[in-house]
Amino acid sequence: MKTQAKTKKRRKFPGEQGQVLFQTALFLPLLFILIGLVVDGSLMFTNYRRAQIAADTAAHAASHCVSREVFYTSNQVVLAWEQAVYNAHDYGSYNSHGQVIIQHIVVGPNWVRVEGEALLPTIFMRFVGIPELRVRVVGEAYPAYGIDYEWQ
Amino acid sequence: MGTKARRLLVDEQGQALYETALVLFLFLVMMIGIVMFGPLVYTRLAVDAASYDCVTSAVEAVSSESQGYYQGRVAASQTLQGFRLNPSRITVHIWTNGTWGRGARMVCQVSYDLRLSGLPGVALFFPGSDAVIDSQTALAVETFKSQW
Repeated sequence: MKTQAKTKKRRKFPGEQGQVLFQTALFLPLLFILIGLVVDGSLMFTNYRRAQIAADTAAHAASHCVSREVFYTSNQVVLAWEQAVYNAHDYGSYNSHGQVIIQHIVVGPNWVRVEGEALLPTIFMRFVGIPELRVRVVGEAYPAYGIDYEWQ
Repeated sequence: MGTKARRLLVDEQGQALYETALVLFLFLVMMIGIVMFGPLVYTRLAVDAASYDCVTSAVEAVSSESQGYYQGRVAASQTLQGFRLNPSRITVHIWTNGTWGRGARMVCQVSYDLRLSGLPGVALFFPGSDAVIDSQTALAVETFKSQW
């Protein structure tokens, strides 16, 4: 009786052929997921750094826009809002190749802060319905003026 | 079928070795791909940082265009050397859109000739994988900064 059951079982699972292939098929999706995360994570990080550079340059360019009128009349350094916003958008989009959407430009008396959203495209994550990730980038800058000597 | 042939068909010795050899090729290609991907991303980050440093240094020179170019080149080169990249493979191009002067747009392009074929196995599985990684950043020359 016992021998018969053993023979039946052996017929169902005839041998060890295909063991490695089976294990590979089992773990291959896991490996693909890991590789996908590594590749997507790296690409997103490089794109994020690019977006941060775009936000920084946007703020830097906007900080150049000191209002001459205010300076001539009151001797104060105040940023010209309209020109600062134009410069921020101009340099932000140029340096990010359109991957940063500038949302807020806050112009203070002598500082400017650019807040934007970076669109980080994915390669592997799009197969699970995530074609891009959106992250916030912030750049801040102060105008350079009135320096009389080097390293002041 | 002879007894010897039948025995050979039933014999499972070396089965795992044979199957491993089958899937090893796939694993090898994937592993080399990952090995290749690391330097690619690293260089991309370095080149981006270098072009940003290049342009932010170049726009600070308000008295002379050539001084701006010089400062930009030095900054880009030093940044890439800080990333331990080979200085002989760096190319820096700086130009001004229109006439140079305060408020003019300066563009800095940094390129690095990345030789991935030097990595083990890369040339075998990914021929022609050497690439030039470049990055471009633009900024306006300082408008109200004093000359010194």
